[in-house]
Amino acid sequence: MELRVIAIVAGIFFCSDVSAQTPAWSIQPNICVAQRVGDECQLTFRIETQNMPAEPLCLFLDGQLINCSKNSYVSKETSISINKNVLIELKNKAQKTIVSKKLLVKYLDLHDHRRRVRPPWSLF
Amino acid sequence: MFVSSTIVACSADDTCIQKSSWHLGIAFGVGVKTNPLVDGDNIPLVILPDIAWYADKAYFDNGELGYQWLNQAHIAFESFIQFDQERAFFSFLHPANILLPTSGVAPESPIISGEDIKSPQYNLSIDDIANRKWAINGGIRGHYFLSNGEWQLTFQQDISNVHKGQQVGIEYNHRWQWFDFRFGLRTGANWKSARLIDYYYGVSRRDTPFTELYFNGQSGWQPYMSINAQKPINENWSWLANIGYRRLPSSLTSSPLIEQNSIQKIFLGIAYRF
Repeated sequence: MELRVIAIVAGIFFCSDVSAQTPAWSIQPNICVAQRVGDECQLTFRIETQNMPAEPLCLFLDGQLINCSKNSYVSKETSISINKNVLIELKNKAQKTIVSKKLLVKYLDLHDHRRRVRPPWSLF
Repeated sequence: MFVSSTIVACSADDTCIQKSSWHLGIAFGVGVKTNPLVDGDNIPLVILPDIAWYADKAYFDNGELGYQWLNQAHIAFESFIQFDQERAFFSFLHPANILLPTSGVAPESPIISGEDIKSPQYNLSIDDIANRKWAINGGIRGHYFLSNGEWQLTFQQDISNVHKGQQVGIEYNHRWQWFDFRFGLRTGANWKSARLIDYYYGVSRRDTPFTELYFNGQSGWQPYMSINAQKPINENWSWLANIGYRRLPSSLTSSPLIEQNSIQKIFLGIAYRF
């Protein structure tokens, strides 16, 4: 019985220790609402980070550099303009992705667009 | 390498279209679609149009006129008519028709008995055979949509009484994005009926008196795969690349009209969206 309790406690401690070491972030808000498909959507979000490595980190939006920090990433507000879902990533100097997340675009008016039945440029 | 996989939204890409407005595009570049027919000319792909118009239910999309009965988040179903593409291989820009007199292996006169003359060759030029007509197909198609992909099942029937044949198609296409690049992978197979194959690729007395060249086309499956890539340059211009491969079945390649067992397509160019 004691052994089982020790194992459970050790497991909880180990898991919490691992999560404490894993870099994590939150981006709020991460959904941008546009009027209709194709419209540019302005999104101002705030990044909160946890357990970031103590090294310079850069923020990328679909592979495009947004900004960098000299040391461990500092949380701050960032404004972007997007017209489709994009991938936002935090990378180190070796271009290794530390954390990543999708930023989504939702539309108020989807009724004036349809999916195409055939792929584009498919005449031949 | 930084690889990411994001959901391609129904947004500014080409897979969604605004209702009741023409969707026009033209691509310039270099490319070719091979022609498996004997003396058939490869189809040069220099200018590619992209023409579509969609209403609430009806649509026209690159030569296909249709009506979509059902269009939900995960499934869609439509009926349509379109020209049978098989005929295109028989008519495109024959240099022999433009530059040279006909010099086929078969005699000009159909009254010579094939039993009396031994043909020195076993292939038959399409310049020397009877005309094949364009057929119009009527069809139905079902879609099952996934987050980044789509399954399609299609049935087509010749409604113009040209060959009275059918074809069935199953296809999966997958779309993904890598940085600015948009990729599309299509893979599937078409089953074409014996009537269809025999009308276009069969050889009979209508084509030549040489009985040893006679051929009855049989039904068969044609698997295919293609990859499409597009990279936007600005709001109107984008780079466009496409490569495709279609395998022809032995029930078709045994025809004396056929000299290749596959159809390949490649295009690299720049596209303008109006």
